[in-house]
Amino acid sequence: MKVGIVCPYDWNVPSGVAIHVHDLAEALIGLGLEVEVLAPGEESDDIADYVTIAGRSLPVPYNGSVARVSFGPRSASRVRKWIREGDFDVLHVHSPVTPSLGMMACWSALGPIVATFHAAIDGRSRMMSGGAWILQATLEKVRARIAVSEEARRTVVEHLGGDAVLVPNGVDAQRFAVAMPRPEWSGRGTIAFLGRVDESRKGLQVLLEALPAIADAHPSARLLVAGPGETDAVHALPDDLRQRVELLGRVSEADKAALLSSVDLYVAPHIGGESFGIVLLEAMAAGSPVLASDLPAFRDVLDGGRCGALFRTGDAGALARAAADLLADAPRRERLAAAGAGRAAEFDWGRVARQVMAVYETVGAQGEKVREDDRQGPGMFAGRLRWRPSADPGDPADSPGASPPEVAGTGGHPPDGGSPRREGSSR
Amino acid sequence: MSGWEWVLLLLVLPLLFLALYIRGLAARLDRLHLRVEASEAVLDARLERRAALTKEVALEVGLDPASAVLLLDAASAAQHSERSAEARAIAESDLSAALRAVFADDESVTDLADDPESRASLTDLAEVCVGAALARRFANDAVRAAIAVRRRGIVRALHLAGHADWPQNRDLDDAPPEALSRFALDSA
Repeated sequence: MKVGIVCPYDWNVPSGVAIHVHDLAEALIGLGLEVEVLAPGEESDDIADYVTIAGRSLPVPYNGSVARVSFGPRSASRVRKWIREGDFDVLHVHSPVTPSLGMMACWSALGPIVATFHAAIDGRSRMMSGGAWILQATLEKVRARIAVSEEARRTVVEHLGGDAVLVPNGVDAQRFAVAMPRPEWSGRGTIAFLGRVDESRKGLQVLLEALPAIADAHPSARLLVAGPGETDAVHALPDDLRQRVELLGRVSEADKAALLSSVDLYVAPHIGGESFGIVLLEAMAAGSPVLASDLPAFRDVLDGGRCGALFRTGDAGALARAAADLLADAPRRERLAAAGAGRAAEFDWGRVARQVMAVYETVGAQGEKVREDDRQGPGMFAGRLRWRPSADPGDPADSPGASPPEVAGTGGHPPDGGSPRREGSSR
Repeated sequence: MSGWEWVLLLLVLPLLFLALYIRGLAARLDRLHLRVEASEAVLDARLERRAALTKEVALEVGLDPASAVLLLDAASAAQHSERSAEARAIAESDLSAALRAVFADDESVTDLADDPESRASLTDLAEVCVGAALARRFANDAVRAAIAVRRRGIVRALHLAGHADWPQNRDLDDAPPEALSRFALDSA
């Protein structure tokens, strides 16, 4: 089976969705599928053979973050060419409501199309902008919808209508499980934080506010902060607290795994905007007990608190109490870590990719190929009129006859409704 | 252009756009109907295969006789149910329930799977159970999309759907036996 996967976000800039597409592609190749990926980005030598770069991405500010997406007539024609030449059995589009390559691929293709909805914000309020009919007609072509979390699925049901099957995000559980602890990151009362330090929704400020109370209860407590960005909040701390905080900056994937396997506790104090919580799973796979804010997405990943402790989102006092209790209770930490490791194994990429493959097999069961849609751009006028008799299967929609008129000036531009979104990701 | 030509143009242009719009709508509806048909064909094929595989598993994997008869009865009922949609849905739902009852816990599934041949049949059955559930979701999704367009006033007024049947949701209990699905995912 040959699958074409479309990533809407820049391939060279790590984002939740781009990493998901990369890991999924690798896992599917591991299962013996033929995979090609189309993504925006820069051409370079270290990009894998199966990736086609559709052109440069443009940074579009959204929600205090920047989404790097690609649109315009040149990208549109590359999308068409990729679909025409790909000869795919299944087209798998990620975030089709983000105005980028995914949406254009839906427009340009016919046949077995699968779409994955990542963020809870995919679609919300979009349906109310002027682009609603474009979205509707785009989504009509999608034969199977996948949501990566209950949260994302709820949004699909509420805002786009219909349903989606839940296939969770994957985690490379094995890589984290075998990571070796490092002495400099171990020690009694060591807490880890991961994520951009200057993005308030990652919640570092909540953890720093809780730190004095944690330090009172555990004199040896210290905090390791791994993540890019600049912040004054740490430098502004009084000296005795400042000494307890170590800023590691941006860490490599290997260092992240080692860090998570070293510490006594991983804290995820996010205050919102998360639709999945992949870092939580990574921490769990590495064997670290998890303490997280009770966002719906985190609650789902932690199975309601069975596989990790939860505290009220944004409540520094509650965080301090929960962290102090956990640091004082080694047996409970061990229990949580064991339950967490088991939970993380359920999200291993090999397992997740097999579930995605079952979806491919369902939409591709009739052997229909993905082909180019000969309408140009949002060509709602460019169809053919045909009264159908009641039972007329097997006759493809593309009957010979009038060639579709081209609508002037719609050469694949994205709709003007709504701005591209940075998808909720904890990376 | 003379005044008359302008008037003519103003009369003709809206009509032209209307015609193109209707044309596009009809094509879209046509495509949606094809999607409904295709997805339902997949669902029916999966359900048929599920019943056939259930029979195979019932006879081959070394189940106790009571479990085997339970599965055989349910599978036959699904295969020979009346063609009415309702009767069929009931029979298929019963088969789902029987499968869940027989493959209730991880332990019994693992025991049955000791033998390599049984293992293969059990994995196939697990896959088709999950596959049928997926197919039904996707079929109902297609039905919903088609109905959304068919409800439009202009589609009904102009009879754009022709004689195509009104798309029907497929309501049945297709929840797969979880222990069996877990086994298939873990062992693959």
